[in-house]
Amino acid sequence: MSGTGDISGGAGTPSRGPDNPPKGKIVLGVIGYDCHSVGNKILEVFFTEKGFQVTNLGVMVSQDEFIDAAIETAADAILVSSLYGHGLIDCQGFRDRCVERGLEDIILYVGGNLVVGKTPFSEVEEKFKQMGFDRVFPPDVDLEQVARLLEQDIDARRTGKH
Amino acid sequence: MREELVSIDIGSTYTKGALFLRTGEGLRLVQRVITPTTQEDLSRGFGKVYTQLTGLPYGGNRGKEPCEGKAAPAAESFPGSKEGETRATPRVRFSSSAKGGLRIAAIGLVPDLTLQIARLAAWSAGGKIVADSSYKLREDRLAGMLRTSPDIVLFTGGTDGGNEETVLWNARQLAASSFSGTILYAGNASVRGEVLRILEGKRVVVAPNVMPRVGEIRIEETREAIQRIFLDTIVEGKGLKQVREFCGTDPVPTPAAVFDLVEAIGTYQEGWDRFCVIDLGGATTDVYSVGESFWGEDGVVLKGLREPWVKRTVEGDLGIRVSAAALWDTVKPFFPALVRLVWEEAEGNITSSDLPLKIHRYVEKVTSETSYVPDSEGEKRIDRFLVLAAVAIATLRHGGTLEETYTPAGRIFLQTGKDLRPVQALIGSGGYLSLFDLGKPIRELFHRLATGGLEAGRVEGGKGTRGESDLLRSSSHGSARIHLVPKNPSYFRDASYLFPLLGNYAKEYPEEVSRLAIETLVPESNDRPG
Repeated sequence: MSGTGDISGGAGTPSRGPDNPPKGKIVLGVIGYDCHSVGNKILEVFFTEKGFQVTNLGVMVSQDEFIDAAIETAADAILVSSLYGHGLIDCQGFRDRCVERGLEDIILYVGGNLVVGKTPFSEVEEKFKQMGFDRVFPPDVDLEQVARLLEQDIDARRTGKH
Repeated sequence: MREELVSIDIGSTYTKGALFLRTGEGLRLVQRVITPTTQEDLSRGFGKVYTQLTGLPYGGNRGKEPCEGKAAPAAESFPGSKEGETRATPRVRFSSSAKGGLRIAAIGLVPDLTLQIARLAAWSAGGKIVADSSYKLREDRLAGMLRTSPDIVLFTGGTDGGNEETVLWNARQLAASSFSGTILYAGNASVRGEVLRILEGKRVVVAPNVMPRVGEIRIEETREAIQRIFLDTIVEGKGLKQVREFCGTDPVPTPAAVFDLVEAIGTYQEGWDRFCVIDLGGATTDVYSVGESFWGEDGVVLKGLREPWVKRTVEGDLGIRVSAAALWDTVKPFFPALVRLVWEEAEGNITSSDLPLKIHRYVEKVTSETSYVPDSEGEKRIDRFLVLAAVAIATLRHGGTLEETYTPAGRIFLQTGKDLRPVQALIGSGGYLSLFDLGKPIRELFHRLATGGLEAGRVEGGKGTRGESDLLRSSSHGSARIHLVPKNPSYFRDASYLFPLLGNYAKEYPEEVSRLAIETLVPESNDRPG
């Protein structure tokens, strides 16, 4: 293994090659009319260093822009951020839209300050999972943990495909 | 230093030529001639123009290095000569319009990404898009595409290392098709080898991916590849080969020559870094723009691609002769708005109810007789209306839009496409716009589109000028939409229609050629109000 980081990629996944970096291709962005850009840049640097191939769409990204980029890059996962409290309405129908546009099995993550007020996180998580997101993260999540989960999920998706 | 430069443009109707003299002081125009194009053998018209310009015989092979001062056949005198001067063989460059432009079918993956970039690449190379397709190419779509008989299929899709499935699918569809022209592959580079294997037996040319990463536009090599294909496959026959041998150089597609000139003006001429050229002809209306696509103003957010610094668009449905019927079809739905925009200005308040019928009859007439020149005041007005309508629609399509929207952080504007508002100068070129000074109505038209349209639309709640702001596509949710057309430009005419002829030398002498282009422009005759 070439070992680009502390977590070595699982061996033998068929679709790996120079254009399929070990940890997969992801699309990042902040959804809706949300212009919080600092966290977005941190995520880009972090996931790039972890060995993912990152396409960062920045702030104020629409559902279709996420999906357009994911189609062109053949992304494994879309990571949606939302920090201004309108995440629920911005993410409404995201999975359905992915399905409509041919990305049935893409991995969808969402994280940030997803709703306004003091709703317990478990309720928020449940809501987003019902909407078709695979994993939901609070604002104070440990990014190392997200990277590990993402790698596992991408491996599982690729194995399932072949 | 003293050098004669001959430039000849073989158009579908006329073959035009100019002789330039290049000295240490720069370039100047010596003379200009025009003759009908000899369709059955293009070299005859070419030769006639060459001889008229230079006084030298046309024929044979002047060799590969025509410009290196070989002794020329003796001529008693030649334009601009001084007594006792020996004459070097003039250098010759030529362009060909290739029957109104290269016919290109564009294939992309996502409509707003690779397909849009494929279109931009095709336009910049001097092509016109005759068909397009996004996502998976289905049989019926492919059949429709082939019916438009494209010369080139520009095949894109996927970032490098990105989508393979759809790209390979589309390759297989093309492989199984009857298409016998050239396929230019400029998609996902990671599957290029596989695509080439699938397309074995077809004529295939490759170029780097037009979108190596999401949002990154790379079209220069594709543009060059399209021009090479133009040379290799389209120039054959009709005497062009002979012309090529005589000149020792390859022809340039006419629109590409103009593109090169426009780029040279923007690069070398001070004060000319934000301008547009509108080239309106019988078959198409071409718009060129130079300038930043997005200016990064406060409160404006760019959505989608950041378009190139030099952009060209070609509107195949906007021409005033061959395409007059298509133009009228495009105009009809917006007729009242366009009449308000461009007719009243010229004619006072006349909107007689039989005007559409009169236009319809006129359009039938000029479509069947494409060299028709209007002979009554009424017909001249209609011609002028069609020209202004084509200018309006072509510029609206070329430029982007701003859409007002409200966010938790306040009001913002979403920009899509290229911002032409800061454009300082507009240049009219092509038959009609070269001949007639439409500066005043065109500037007023843009002024209304850029400012009045939006303000009036807001006040009147979507009525009134709605037709103007909806010329392209309807606003999705009734919010105010601003068309990013030139706001307050000066107007000039390429009065002697020199642009294509100067463009033939734009790659070699960009600075001198672009200076002469600017010097020969004719400013609007009327004093500007205010």
